[in-house]
Amino acid sequence: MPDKAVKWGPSPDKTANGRTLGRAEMVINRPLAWNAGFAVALLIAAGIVALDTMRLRVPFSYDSIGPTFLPYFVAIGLGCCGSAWLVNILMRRRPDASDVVAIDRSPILIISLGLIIQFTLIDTLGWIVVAGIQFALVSRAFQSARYLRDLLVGLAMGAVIFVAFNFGLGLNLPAGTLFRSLGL
Amino acid sequence: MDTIFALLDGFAVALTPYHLMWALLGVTLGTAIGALPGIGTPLTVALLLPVTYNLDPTSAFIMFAGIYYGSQYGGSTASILLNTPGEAGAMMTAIEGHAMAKRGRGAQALATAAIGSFVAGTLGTIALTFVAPTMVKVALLFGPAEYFALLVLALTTVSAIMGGSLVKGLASLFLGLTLGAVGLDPQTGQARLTFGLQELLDGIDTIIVAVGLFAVGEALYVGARSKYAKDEIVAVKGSIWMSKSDWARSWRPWLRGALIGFPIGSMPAGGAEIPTILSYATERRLARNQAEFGQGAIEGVAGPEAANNASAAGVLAPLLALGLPTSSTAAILLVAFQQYGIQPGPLLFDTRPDLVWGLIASLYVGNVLLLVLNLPLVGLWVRLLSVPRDWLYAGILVLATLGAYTLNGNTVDVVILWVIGLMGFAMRMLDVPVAPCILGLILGPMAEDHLRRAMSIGQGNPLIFLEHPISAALLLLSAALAVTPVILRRRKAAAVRRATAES
Repeated sequence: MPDKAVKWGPSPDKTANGRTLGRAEMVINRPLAWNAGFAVALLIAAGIVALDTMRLRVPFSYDSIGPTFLPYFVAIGLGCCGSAWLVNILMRRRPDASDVVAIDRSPILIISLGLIIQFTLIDTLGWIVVAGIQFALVSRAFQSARYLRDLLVGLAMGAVIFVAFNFGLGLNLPAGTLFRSLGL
Repeated sequence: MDTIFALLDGFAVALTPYHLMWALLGVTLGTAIGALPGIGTPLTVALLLPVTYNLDPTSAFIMFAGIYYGSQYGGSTASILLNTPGEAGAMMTAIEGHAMAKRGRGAQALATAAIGSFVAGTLGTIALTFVAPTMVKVALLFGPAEYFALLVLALTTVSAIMGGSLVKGLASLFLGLTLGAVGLDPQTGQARLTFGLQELLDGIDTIIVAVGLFAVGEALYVGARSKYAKDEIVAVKGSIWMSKSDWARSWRPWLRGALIGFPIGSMPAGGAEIPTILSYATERRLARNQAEFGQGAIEGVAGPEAANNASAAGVLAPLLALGLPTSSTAAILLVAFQQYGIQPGPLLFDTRPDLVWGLIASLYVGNVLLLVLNLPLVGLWVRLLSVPRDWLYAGILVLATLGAYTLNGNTVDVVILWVIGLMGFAMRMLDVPVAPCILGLILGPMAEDHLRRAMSIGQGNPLIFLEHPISAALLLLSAALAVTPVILRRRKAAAVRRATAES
C-alpha cells in the first residue's frame, strides 16, 4: 500500500508519527482516556436511568410487568457493560503513547458551534442565514481557508432548499423574525 | 399462483407514468447521494426522507425502493474509486475494487459491480416475492411471546456479531434501548426519561439518532482527522467495457453471491457484513488464481457486490412480512412506513396489497433503471466523487439539520442531533458498532410491548416463553449465537498464545 494513500473511512488510520495502524491494533491501542471515559459515561448513564425510574409509580397488578422493568433492565445492562469495560482496561497493557490516533480538537468545536448557532438562532435569523453560517463553519473545520466563498455557497444552498421546501413541498422553514422586524 | 397475480397487480401500479417518475427520481437521487464518500445507505434514506413528506404513500414507497437500491449502487462507486466504503456491505468491494482501480481497471470493476448488482438484485427480488408471503403465513402462528423471542434473537445477534467485542456491541445496544425508552410509557402513560422536556414526550426519533450517528458523528470524526488525512481518488481511464474473460470470471460469483446474500439477509441476524465476507472468502477459495486476490481480482468484486444486493433484498422480507427491521436501513424504512400510519407486517399484505406489491414490483423496475443509468453515467458519478471534502461535509451537515428540524418543526431535535453526534463520534473513535444502537432504539419498545403482553396473557408466569416451542427455540438460539463468537474468540486467542509460546 503506498504511504501517501491514507483513507478516511473505517479502515486503517495513520498515527501522528506516520505509522499505519492495522485493524486489529485499533481496538487495543486507543488512548486510555477515551476508553475509561466512555466506560464511566456508561456507568453515569446507568445511574441517571435508575434515578429517574425510581420516581415512577408502579400500578399494582398481578399479571403484567410495569413501566419500570425496562428502564431498570437497561440501567443494569449499562452498568454491567461499563464495569466490564473498566475491567478490560485494567487487565490490558497500557497503550503506547505513540499509538494514539491523532485528532485535532478544533474541528469538533467549530462543527459544534455551527450546530449551536443553528438551534439557538434559527428562528431569529431564518433558515437561509443559519444554513450559510453552518456551511461556512463546517468547511472551515475541514481546513478550508476561503471563508467568504464558503459562506456564499452555503447561503445559495440554503436559499435553494428554502425555496424548494417552502414553495415546492409545502413545508415550513423559518424566514427569520429579525428580517420580519426590519420590514423585509 | 396467487403470488404471481398479486405481483402483476403490483406492476400495474408501479408502471404508471406517475410512479415511474418517482422511481426514476428515487434511483437517481439514491445513486448520487450513495456515491458521495462516507454516506452509506441508511444515511442516504434518512437524508432523503424529508423529500417524501408530502407525497402519497404509494409514490413515497416507490421512491424509497429506488433510493434503497440506488444507494447500494452509488456506494460501490465510492468504494471502488475512492476506497471509502461508507458502510459495512461495501467494505469487501473496496478491497478488490480499489486495487483494480489502481491498476487501471476501475471501469471493469464498476461494470461488474453494476451488472452483478442487477443480476443479484433481480434474483433477490424474485426470492423476496415468494419468501415474503410464506413468512407471512409463518408469522400468523406468532403470538407476543414468539415476537418477543424473535426480537431478542435479532438484538443479541446484532450485538454479538458486529464489532470487535461483545461488551462494545452490548454497550451500543443498551444505549439504543435507553434512547428508545425515552417518552411516554404506552401502557401506563407515565413519562420516562423525559426530564421535564415536553418535546421528549413523544420519544426520540429514529431518524435523528440515525442522522446524528452516521452524519454528524462521521463528520466530527473525519473533521478531527482532516488535518492529517488526505483523500486520493483514482481516475477511470482506458476501456470501459468488460472483456470476455471478465464476463467469464464474473458470472459464477454473481450467482453464488446472490445465493449467499439473500438467505442471510433475510434472517434476523441480518446485516451485510456476513454475506459479503462469506462471498469474498468463497470466491477466494474457488478462484483459479488465488494469488491475484488483494491485487485486484474481479471475482472479489463480483461476488461481494452480488451478495450485498441480494442481502438488501433479503432484508426486506422480514421487514414487509413481519414488521421486523434487521438492519439500520430497514429500521429507517420502518420509520418511514410508520409516518404514514402504516404498520408493515402480516396484515399489510391483506389490507394494503396495492402498496406492498407496488413496492416489490418497483424494486424490479428500479433494478432495470439502475442498470440503464449506471453503465453510461459512470463518468457523471465519478465527477461527483471529486466534490471537495470540505463542501461535501458542510452540505451533509446542512442536510442533516434540515432533516432534524423539519421532522417536528422544533429546535430540540437539533440539540438531540448534536448530542447524539458527539456520542457517535466517541463510538467511532472506540470502534463501538452503531447498528445495535439503532436497532435497540427501534426494536426495544417493540420488544417491551410484546413482553408485557405475553406476560399478561401468561398471567405473570415468565416460563411462558419456554412453554411455547417457537419462542423457546428462538431464545435458545439467541443465547447460543450470543455466546459462540465469544467462545470462538477465546479459542483463537488461546491458540495464538500457545503458538507464540511454543515458537
